Amino acid sequence: MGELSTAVATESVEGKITDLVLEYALHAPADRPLRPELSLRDEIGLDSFSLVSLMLRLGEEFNVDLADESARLGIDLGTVSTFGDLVKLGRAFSELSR
Amino acid sequence: MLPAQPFYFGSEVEPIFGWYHTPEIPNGGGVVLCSPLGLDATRSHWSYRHLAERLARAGFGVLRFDWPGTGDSAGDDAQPDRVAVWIAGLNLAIDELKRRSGAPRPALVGLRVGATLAAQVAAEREDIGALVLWMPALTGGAWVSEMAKLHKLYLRIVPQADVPEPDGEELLGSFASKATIADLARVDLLALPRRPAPRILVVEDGVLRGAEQLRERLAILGAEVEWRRGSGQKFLFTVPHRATLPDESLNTILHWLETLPVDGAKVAPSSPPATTPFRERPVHCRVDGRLFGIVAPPVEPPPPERPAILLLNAGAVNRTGPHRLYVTMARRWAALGFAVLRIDLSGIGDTPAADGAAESLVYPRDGLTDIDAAREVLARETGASRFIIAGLCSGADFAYQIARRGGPLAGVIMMNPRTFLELDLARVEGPPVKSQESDLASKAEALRVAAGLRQISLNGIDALLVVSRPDPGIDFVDRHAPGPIRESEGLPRFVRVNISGTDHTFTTLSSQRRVLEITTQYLVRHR
Repeated sequence: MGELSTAVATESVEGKITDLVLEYALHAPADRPLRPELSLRDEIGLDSFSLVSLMLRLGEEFNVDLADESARLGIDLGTVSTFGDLVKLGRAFSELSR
Repeated sequence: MLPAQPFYFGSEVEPIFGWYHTPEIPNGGGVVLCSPLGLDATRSHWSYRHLAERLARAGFGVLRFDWPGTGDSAGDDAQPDRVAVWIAGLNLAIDELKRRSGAPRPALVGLRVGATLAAQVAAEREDIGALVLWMPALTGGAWVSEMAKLHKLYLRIVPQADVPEPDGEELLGSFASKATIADLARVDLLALPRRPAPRILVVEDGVLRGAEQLRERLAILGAEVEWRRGSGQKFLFTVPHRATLPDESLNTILHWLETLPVDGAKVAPSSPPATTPFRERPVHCRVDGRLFGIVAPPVEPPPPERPAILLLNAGAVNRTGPHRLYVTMARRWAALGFAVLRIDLSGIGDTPAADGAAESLVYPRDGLTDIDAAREVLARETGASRFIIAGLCSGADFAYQIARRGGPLAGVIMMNPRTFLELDLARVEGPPVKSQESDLASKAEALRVAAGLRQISLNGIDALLVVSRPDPGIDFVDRHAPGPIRESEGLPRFVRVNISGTDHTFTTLSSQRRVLEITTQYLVRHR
């Protein structure tokens, strides 16, 4: 049961982040699920400000102040460049918000 | 479509810049478009112009304006009593629209914090027929808080020098003083004292926090409220040259306003009211009058040999420049004794695209001929016979090309050129491609830039190159032609200044001050 709920939570984190990425993407990718190595900048056209806006929404989704919490957890937001990086970030904040 | 008229209105102390869009066939209605603030205003300018044009085609008289201290209006965001001045400014805009259109009960359309301010003003009047809240901020404080968070996050993603502003907050390129923040916190849609308008349309996309409370509050106040989904916020967080118009939202607003009863005369008033004098003046260039710009004249008549300055768009951002930097520069340089024209090239800002050309292009097809036309107007308006051409990003690329061609130029100021119109943009901005062919092409392009800088020097033109480190354009050149670029730094009349700890558009206030100081010091030599 525990494993199942973790799997559902993981799926919903990925789902939430997929929805957000598609909302912000300049060029929406056709393939689903999104590849972890999908480049946010080169493949879907997010510039720095779009990425910042997306991250703010991500923090709101998980009820955390993303700037403060990422600093506290020692996460370098400057290294977030792929869909997989965002999912990792989302999982970290999902854990925090439980 | 009748051409829109740029004008200044309000007090002579702090005139407000606006456009009046005369309806083709008046339907008796009038609309005031209330822009948002800060980066939201830069990103929505194109959409607002289109909305105004569509409304005017449908028969509405439309006034769009820049809040005092923003855009092309007088003043700046560090002045006191901003919120009170904004509220007074919108009241003046409504009165101005009523005089020009004859509409007795106009509608207000506001976006983001522009909607919040519009509702506040509407609730204090009794003559607003309808109100459109487009992705409103629930309170002015919520908007400040969001922008301040975005600013802090941005500095985490694009690391740069973070110099605290002790008297307020940086909001991604603009500033809000502590007093402005406190005053904005009191502008609250949930605390509106009266019904702002009998009919209200809310356009948002399910992400407005407090939407239910807003719905309840407006119902309690007795407003008839409709709630519609629009085309989202993508146009607000996308860099202007990559953005698309939020057509669904624009058409939703247009069609909703068209369904409302209008009670104004269906004939426009015969004579428009007088405008407020202001030092700066709008000008139209090119034979067809299509090209729009604003001249900031020098505070005192300059000697005949003093060059005039032409500021070229940065990307597809309108003539006010990223973070309103061009307005700040123009006014500072005018105070030094230069005439400065900030221009919208074809398809950017308030200049329509040439026939058959697309809008919002960084390098418009007619860019070089636009610049020639702008120089002619500047010569006619100011008597100048020599020019300094300045620009950021693509504006720097055009400036470089004009200087390379030679002509009556005294100088050129290039801030963070992207391609110099020599480099392949995809190679500059895209992921590195490892191939011998790509390396050779990149080197050839970078060498052309070095040769171009030599040519500018040979043309006898002073050149200032100001670059952020790192910035993609100059980094590309430095990487692929390191030797020739180093040599260019010894060229006569060529100065390169590197600014570390900033980004492409000088988002932080400290970097804006730095680039303003560097360019101003350079100009002092040309007085």
